Amino acid sequence: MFNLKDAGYDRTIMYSPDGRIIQVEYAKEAVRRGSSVIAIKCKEGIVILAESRSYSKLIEPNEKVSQIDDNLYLAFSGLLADSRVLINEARVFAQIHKITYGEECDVETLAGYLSKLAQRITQFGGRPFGLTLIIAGVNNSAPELTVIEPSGAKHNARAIAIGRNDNEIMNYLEEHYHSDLNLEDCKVLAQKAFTEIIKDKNDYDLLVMNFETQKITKQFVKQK
Amino acid sequence: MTTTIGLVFKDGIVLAADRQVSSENFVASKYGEKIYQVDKTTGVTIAGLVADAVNLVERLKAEFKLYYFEKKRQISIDKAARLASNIFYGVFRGGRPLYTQILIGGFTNNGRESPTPKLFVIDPSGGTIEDKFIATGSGSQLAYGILENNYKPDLSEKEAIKLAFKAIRAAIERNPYTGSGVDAVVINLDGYKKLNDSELQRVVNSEVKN
Repeated sequence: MFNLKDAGYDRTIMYSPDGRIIQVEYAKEAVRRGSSVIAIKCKEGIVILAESRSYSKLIEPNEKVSQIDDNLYLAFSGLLADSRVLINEARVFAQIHKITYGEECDVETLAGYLSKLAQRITQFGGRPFGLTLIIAGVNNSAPELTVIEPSGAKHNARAIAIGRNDNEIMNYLEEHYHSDLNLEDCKVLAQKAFTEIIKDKNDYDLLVMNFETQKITKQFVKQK
Repeated sequence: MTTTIGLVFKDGIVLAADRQVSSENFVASKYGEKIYQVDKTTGVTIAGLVADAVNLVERLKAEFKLYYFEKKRQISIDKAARLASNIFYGVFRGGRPLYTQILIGGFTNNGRESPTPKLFVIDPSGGTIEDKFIATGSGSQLAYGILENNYKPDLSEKEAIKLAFKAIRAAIERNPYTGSGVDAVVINLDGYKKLNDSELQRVVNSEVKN
């Protein structure tokens, strides 16, 4: 991805001659080294599977899926330290939203705010967040699933994989996803995609958000 | 321009208040909400300026929720009272005090000992007092007359509700800025429960000596 004519343009947030912002691409590379997260949406709700890795069995793995508000969750892949900042921003934003409007913050609004934070760095300087965020919520008229990249670009998704082996998992999901999956199918699909492509037998967090009952369950699945 | 009381009983807290919202000598509402749930097992009663009070309650709800998401456990009631006190003190020293006084009741949750119910009153300067029973508002002295005579530390839930009702009733009878019925809330380890009129009447009329 890197060639000589880019030289120097990767030192700062500035366009390279062919119109790329190379610091942002490095940030995406940091995400690609992160642990794998898979999120799948259907009419009945959302399933998030987040790989749980630590470099030693004596170190407890960190939380990869964080609660932002009652029905709002955030999962990420990339730099753990950066995630703490954005998770805190998101939680405070959700509470301010509730005080201001008397209603719970939805995914669209929260994603808009977080993507603005990420974008600002790519234009006015600083180091871009080494994070891709998945924001999931079931408190609106339908389940919502949104991805935010280090550039600040955000996309609504039916299914998404981020972190290591994201392309392979994404291909797997594209092959097996169809629009009439139910929540249980989504769970099975996420687990299958994860275990078939990532052979390390790592543990994972499994978050199931049911849109109809508004029930959210989080379990830690041990593979070893 | 209100009477609210709180009392600690054997396994929880009872909060009670009248429903009258007064604007000087005018009754602005007969259905004012003066008891609020701010956390799973934490309740607040308000007295004073409604705008300040409701704003504070919303702030507390947000702060307690952020605490929960950060620490994965509900905030202990003594820490909740400290947090509220700090909010009061900050704006008081800033020269724009909140014209309200709150009772806040709930459970300690420090992970070492079993949860105990506690009740605090916080005034506009942030001054905090913990007690087993507290009354605030314009009719508080009338309510204290009843509470001082009848409160016992080992009250059952029903006895506590009856006593709270009686104390608010006394204030309604003789305080012109207190009236329009009684609201009561019971908080125990199972959660926060607002009693509706018929439930409250049933408890008040039931045969428990008091």
